[in-house]
Amino acid sequence: MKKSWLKLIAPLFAIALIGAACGGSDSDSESSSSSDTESSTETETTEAPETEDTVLEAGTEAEGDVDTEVEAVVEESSYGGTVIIGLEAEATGLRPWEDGCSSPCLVMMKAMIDTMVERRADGTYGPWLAKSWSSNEGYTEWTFELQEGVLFHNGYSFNAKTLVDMFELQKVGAISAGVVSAAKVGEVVAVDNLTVKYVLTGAHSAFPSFLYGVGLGGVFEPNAANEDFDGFSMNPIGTGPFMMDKRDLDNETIVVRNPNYWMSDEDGNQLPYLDSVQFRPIPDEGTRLDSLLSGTTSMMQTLRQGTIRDARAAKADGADITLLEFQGNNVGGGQYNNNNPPLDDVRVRKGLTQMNNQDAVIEALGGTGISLPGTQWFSPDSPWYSEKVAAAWPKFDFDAGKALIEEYVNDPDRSDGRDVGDNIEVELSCPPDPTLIAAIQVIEQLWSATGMIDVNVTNYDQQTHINYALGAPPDFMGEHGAHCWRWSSNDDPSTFLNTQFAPPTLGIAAAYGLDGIFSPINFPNYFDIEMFGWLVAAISTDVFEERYALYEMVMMRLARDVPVWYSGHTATLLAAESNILGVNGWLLPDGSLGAGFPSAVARWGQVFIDN
Amino acid sequence: MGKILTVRLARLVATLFAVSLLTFLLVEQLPGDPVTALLPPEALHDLETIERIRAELQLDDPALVRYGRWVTDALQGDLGKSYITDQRVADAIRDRIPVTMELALLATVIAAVLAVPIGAFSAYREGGRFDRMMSGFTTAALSIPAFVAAIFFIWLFTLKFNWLPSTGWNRITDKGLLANLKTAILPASALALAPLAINARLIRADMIGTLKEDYVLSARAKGLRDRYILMRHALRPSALTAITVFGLQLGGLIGGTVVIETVFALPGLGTRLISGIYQRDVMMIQGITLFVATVYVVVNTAVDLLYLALDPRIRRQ
Repeated sequence: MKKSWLKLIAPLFAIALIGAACGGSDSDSESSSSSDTESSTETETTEAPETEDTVLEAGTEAEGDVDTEVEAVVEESSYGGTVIIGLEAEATGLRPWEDGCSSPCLVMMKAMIDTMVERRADGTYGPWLAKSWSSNEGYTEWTFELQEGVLFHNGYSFNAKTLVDMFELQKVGAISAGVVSAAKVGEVVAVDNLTVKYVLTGAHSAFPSFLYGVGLGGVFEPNAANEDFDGFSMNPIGTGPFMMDKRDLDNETIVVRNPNYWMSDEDGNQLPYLDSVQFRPIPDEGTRLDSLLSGTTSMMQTLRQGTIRDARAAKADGADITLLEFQGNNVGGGQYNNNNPPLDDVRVRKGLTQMNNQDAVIEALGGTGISLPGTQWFSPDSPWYSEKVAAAWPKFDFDAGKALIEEYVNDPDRSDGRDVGDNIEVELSCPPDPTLIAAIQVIEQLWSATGMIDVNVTNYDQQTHINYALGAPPDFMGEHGAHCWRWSSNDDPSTFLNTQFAPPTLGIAAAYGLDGIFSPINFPNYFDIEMFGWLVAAISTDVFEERYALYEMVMMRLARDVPVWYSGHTATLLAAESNILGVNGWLLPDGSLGAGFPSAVARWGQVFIDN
Repeated sequence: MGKILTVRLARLVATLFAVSLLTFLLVEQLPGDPVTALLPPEALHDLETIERIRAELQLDDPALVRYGRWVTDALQGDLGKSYITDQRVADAIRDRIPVTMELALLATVIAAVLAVPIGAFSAYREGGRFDRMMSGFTTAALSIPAFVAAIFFIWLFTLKFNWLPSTGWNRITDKGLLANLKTAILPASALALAPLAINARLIRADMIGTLKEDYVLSARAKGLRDRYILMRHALRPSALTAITVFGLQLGGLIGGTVVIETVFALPGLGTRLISGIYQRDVMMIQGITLFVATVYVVVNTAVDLLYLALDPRIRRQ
C-alpha cells in the first residue's frame, strides 16, 4: 500500500482536468427498475432447506475472469455487530415505486424492502414474500400465494390487499408506471387474504421476474406511503430484516434489526443476525477502498475494474479482506446510430467493429484479467450464453475491417451522400471518465489509422450522454453516432431485449402493423421485424430450451447486423473484512441457494460477523 | 460613505442577477429533457407519464416565465424543490451548510494560525535558512491541488498511522466537538494548504517592508526586544492586508470544498451540487450555485466595506 496514494493521483488529476473531479453516478449501475425474468414452471413450491454442511455451487467459471462462485455458508452463524459499508453513491430516494434506484441504492433498499420473488444462484426465480405461483395457459393471469405472518415495520400485516393498494401507487409512480406497462399488468386482484392475482393485458411467460425488481416487486406499506408520500423516501416502511434508524443524507444511513422479521434460518433461528448496518456513500473509488483498508468501514462495493484490481493488490499485500467478485452479463461497449449515415450501412458498422481491438480496450479500461471480452449480451457464466454466437461475432481483424470501410467509401451509392473516395465521418462519444477516455482513444487511433475515417471524439457528462442518445419526445431519435454504452443485466433477457429492440418510433411501428408498440430506449435505432418476432415468441413460452434458441437467434442477428459493439463484461466487487460472512451464501425460504451478490448488491438478512 | 455603500450594494445585486440568469441559461442549454432524465428507461415509452410529469413540474412554460418564477420565489427564500428527491432546495442547503461552513472556517483558521508566524518569522529572517525552507514549502503548497493533498493525507494519517478516519462526518450535535474535529481536521487541512501559502507569502512580503520603516528602526534603537517589535510594531500594520485576504478566501473556500467534500465523502453543499449535476437535478444545481455565489459576493462586499471603514485613505480616494 506504500504507493497507493500515488496510484490515485493520476486518474484524479485527469478527472480534475476534465472538470468532473467528483465521481458519482455510474453507467455501470444496474437499474433496479429493470426487473428480471426466468420463471418457468406452472407452479413453484417451497422445498426442504439444505443442511448446514452442504456446499452449493452455481454458475460456471470462465477462465481469466473474476471469481463468481456462489456457495452456501458453512460457518456457524452468530448474532450481533454492525457492518459499515462504503457505497459508491447516495440513494436519491427509497420509495420503490417513485425513486430511481441503482446498485448502491439497492444495497440500502434491500435491507428494508423485501421483494415478492428472489433470484436463485442458477438464474431461476424462487419464493420470497410470494410463497408460490402459477399462471393460466396463456400466461395472462398469474396467481401468487403469499407468506403468512409477515408484518411491516409499523406493525401492519402484509396480505393480498397490501398488493392491491400498492398497485394504485405503482400505476402512477415515476419508476413503477413504466414497469407496470412493460410487464403488461392491467389489474391486481385479491383472491383471498393470502392469494393475489396479477391480470396482464398480454401474454408474458416470464412475468414473475418483474416481481424481483423493486419497481414492481418491492413491497412497501401503502398506508404509510399515502400518509407521507415525500417522507417515505427518508423512512421507508417495508417488511425487510432491518428498519430505518437514522438517515443523514450523503453521510450515513443506519438501519437496525427488525425484531419481527418473518424469516428464520434453517435451524429456526430468528433473522437477521446483525444488530445494524451503516451505509456510507463514498463517491471517490480510492477513498472508498482506503476506508475499508484502514478500518473506517468494514465493507465496500465497486463497479469499477480499476478498483477491483487495486483491491486484489491490497489483498495480495496482506490486507485481511474477502473479495466477492461477480462477473455479470452487463457488457460495456457502444452503439451505432443505425439511423444516421454512414452508420446506417452494415459494412461501416461491421468494419468499425472489426477494427476495434477488444483486448486493448479492456486493458485501457483497467480490466485485463478481470473483465472478459464480450461477444453477446450474456457472459460465459450465464445460462443464456451461446458458443455459436461467440464464434459468429466479428472479432478484431483490422485488415478485414479496413476492407469493408474501403468498399463503402468507394461505393457510388454510399448512404452519406459524399463523393466516392471521400473519408467517412464518425462521431465517437463517451462520458468523461478517465478510463473511458483512454478506451476511446484506443478505438479512435485504430479507426483513424485507416486514413479513411475522420473521427470526431466528444465527451458529455453522463446524463447529457444519455439524453443525446435518447433524443426528444415523441420520436426519441437521438443524434448520436458511435456512442459508448452498456448492455444487458442478469435479469431475464425479455426484460431488456424486448424493449431494447422494439420499433424505435411510432412511425416505424405503424409501418410494420405494430401500432402503438414502440420503444424510446431502442438507442441504436435498429429494428428487424423478424428478430422482434423472436423476442415476442420468447415470452410466449416458458420452456427454457425454446427460449434459449430464440435468444440465440437474436444474438446471431446482432452478430450479423452489428448495431452495437462490445468491450468487456462488467465485473463487480463487494470487499469485506474477512470475518463478515453470509453475503454470498444466503438461502431462499425454500432452502435453495440465492443469487449471491450480482451488481455488488448484498442481501443483509443472513449476513453475520464471525467472532 | 453613503454613496459608496449604495454603489457597492447595487453592484452586489447586479452580480447576483447576472449569476442567477447565467446559471439558469447554462442549465437550460444542456441537451436533453429533464423529464426523461428523471424516468427509468422502462417508463420512457409512456408518453402520457412524460407529459404528466412535465406539466406537474411546470416545464412546459416558456424559459423566461420559468426564470421569472424561480427568481421571484428565490427572493422570498424559496429556491424550489428537487426534481429527483422532492426535497426543498432551501432545506438541502440548510442541512448541508453547517458542514461546508465549518470546513471553510476551520481551513481559514488553520491557514491564519500557521501563516502569521511563518510569514512573520520568514520576514524577520529574510534570506535565512527558515525563509528559504518556507519559500520552498509555500511553492509546493501552491502547486499541489487540494485533492492531491487530500489523498496524501489519507494515505499518511489513515492508512499509514491509522490516526484519523478517511471518510465520514461526525456532527457536533450528535457526537460532540472532539469527534467532530476528528473527521474535520484532514479535509480542512487539505483545503487550508493553498490559502496558508498565499497568506504566509503575503505577510512575509508586507512585513519585510514594514520592518524597514523608520519607526521599527527607531524601536530597535531604543533597545526593544525583537519579538516585541515583530508582534506589536510590525505585524499590526501588515495584518490589515492579511485580514482582507482571509475574508476573500473564506468565500472562495466555500466553493472550493466541492472536490474535498467528495474525496472525504462529507455531507456538505459540494457533494450535493455534484450529485445534482450528475442527476440533472436542475433546481438543486440552480439553487446551490446561486447560494454559493451569494455568499461569495456578500462576503466580498462585506470585506470591501470593512476595508473602507478601517482605512480612511481609501475612503478619500
